[in-house]
Amino acid sequence: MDKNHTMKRKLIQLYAALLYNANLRGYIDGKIYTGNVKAACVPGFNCYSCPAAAGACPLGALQNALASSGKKAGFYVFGILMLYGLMLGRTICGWLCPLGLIQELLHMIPTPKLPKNRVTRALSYLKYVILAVFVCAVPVWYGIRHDMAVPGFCKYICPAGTFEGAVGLLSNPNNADYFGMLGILFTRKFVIMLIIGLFCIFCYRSFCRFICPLGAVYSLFCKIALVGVKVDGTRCNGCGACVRHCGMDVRKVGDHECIHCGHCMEVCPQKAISLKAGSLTLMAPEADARRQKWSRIAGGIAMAVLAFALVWFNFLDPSIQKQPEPEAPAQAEQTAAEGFEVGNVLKDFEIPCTDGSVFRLSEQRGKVVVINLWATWCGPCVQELPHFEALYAAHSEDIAVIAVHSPFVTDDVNEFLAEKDFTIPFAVEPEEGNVWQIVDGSTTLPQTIVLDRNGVVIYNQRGSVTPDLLESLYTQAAG
Amino acid sequence: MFLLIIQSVLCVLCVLVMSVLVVRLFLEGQAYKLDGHPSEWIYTREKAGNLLLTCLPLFLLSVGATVVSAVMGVKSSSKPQKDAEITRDLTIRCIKEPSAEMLAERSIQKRFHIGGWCGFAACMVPIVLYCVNPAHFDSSDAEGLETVIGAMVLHTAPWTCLAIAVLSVCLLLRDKSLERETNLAKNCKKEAISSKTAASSGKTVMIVRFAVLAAAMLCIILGMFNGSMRDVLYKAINICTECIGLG
Repeated sequence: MDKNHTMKRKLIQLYAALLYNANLRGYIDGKIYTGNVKAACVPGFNCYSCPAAAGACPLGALQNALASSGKKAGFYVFGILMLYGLMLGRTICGWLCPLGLIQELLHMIPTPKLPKNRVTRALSYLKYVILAVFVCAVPVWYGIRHDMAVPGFCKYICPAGTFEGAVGLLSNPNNADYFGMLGILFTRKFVIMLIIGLFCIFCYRSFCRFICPLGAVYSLFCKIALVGVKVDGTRCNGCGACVRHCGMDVRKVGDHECIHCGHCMEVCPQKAISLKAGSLTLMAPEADARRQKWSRIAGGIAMAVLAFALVWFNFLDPSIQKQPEPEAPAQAEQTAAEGFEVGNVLKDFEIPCTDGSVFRLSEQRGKVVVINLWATWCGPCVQELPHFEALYAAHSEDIAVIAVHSPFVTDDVNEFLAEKDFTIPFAVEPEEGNVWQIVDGSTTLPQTIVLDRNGVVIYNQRGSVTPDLLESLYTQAAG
Repeated sequence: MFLLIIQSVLCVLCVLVMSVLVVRLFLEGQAYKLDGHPSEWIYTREKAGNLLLTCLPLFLLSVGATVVSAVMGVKSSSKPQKDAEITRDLTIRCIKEPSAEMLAERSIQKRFHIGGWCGFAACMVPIVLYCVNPAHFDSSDAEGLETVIGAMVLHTAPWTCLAIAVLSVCLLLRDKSLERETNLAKNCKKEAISSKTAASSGKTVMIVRFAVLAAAMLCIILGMFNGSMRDVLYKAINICTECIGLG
């Protein structure tokens, strides 16, 4: 048996974490990766709003697919999850999950540890309840009944989203304005993240064992997963050392709680356990020169892939080149007052509306102008649309409101609007850009811009707004 | 052991202090908002920085304790856990015929096993009924959503706790029965260990694998054509602020 098995696994976990988060320049820019590669879901738990994330989170994608299940079946996500489940199953949890690595590192802090027992074994079924309630019920019902994407797990629980996404973005000085949108949601999720982290110190992989819905999904494939630890029945003497030494709540090697970490291979006195892919042995207690040779070749290929990924995502990807800089700052050099920041005069624009009319900013002078950047697939955006409608209804003579949909269109916007009774004008941002560039629109939604009667920006913030805030901004803008 | 306890206390303190500070900052911000500054920021980079600085000594102390532990070679104990079922299985492998008492214990174990799962399933029924009722997901505004989620958690949490408690108790009672069976087995006549060979279900597994693989490939191809792959991309390259807990 390889003595450095544990170290090898840690390195593979680290490798996976780095590969999923190969867009390291995201930490410098404070922006997320927007290339086409992100259509691919990574197998492990990794927030796609992390500045470094190079792929999509399968759980986030699943929730969004379920949220739009009333209109479109999320075949792609279901297919990907089935494929990962079939090929790797919970081996992903043990070897390819960055969150698993973080939990194991936290557990290495020397403290008294809580051993597994009957309660933890029963608690391991909690993740199936969370899967049913937060991952399935909430997104499905809100999607069907309200045309609103509410990824319940991401929004209310996910510690990866808080740590990698929220904290990852907030830690960049370029995103100082993100602090403006923090509130109860962040406070609650931050505390949840701390509590989960604390549990992980005392109790091995607490999040994995009790909460992780992705692990729950993969565990459904435990009987058919191709890769996993297998017991050689002819060698096994049933001593149970494998189960007794395992940190997870397994009843036998390879069951739905087994993450195939291979710790049992080290402790098995009979050397009866090995990591296999079908009939091919990937790792076994006995050293094998041929396997070691292939292992070295695979390691070399993996390193080459990582090196290529790092170069590609950080230097070569076309999305890096095509990211347009907002026009306004360049304009601001020529005419000092023109720009998108508070105090600047917003550059004139015109955009065709969904009702056939054309919205021209210059024609709105003398009125308070509210511009809302939104998307049908953004739950909070859909949630706050009625606030803009109410504001418009209350001050229709004195206010111009325009809601501009993101250039990324997933649902038919006209069909979406036909089901609602909005009177405010709506427009869809063209792919080549228009309003988005002028108001400094980004990949972060929703965003609200308020102009006073002279076209001067008095508010330009990302994040949700409340009716009170809108009313107060109107009062401020109306002078 | 002393170092381990110190480290535990420091970890708990770190989390406690950080949680309290975050909540306090939020409450201060709320009060500030109520004072008539609705568009002002509750948090700022500076405030967050100051918050982290307050926790820094405690955090450094905890890191220091970890370093000291590492230097002194202090490690958490990782003893193998006893498992009643394995102990029983090991013991009965040497037995030719299980006694009547042992069979009775097995019957009890089966009852606890089935009972535990039936109890668990029974506790899940109200949760499922709650989740399938669309009326429980009526509100669509921000405050309404919070209320809906709050109500859902309030409804599902007690049933979940009860389910876990029922399952735990049944597992405990089953383990007690397993222990009794093991004790009974120790008094039985012993024989040479016979090795069992698991019946091969390889063919069925292979068929299921191929079926799932075909379904997965079909789904992925369909997803490429029906736009669900593009939807994943659009969601992944845009940040929904509430979805990651920013607000």
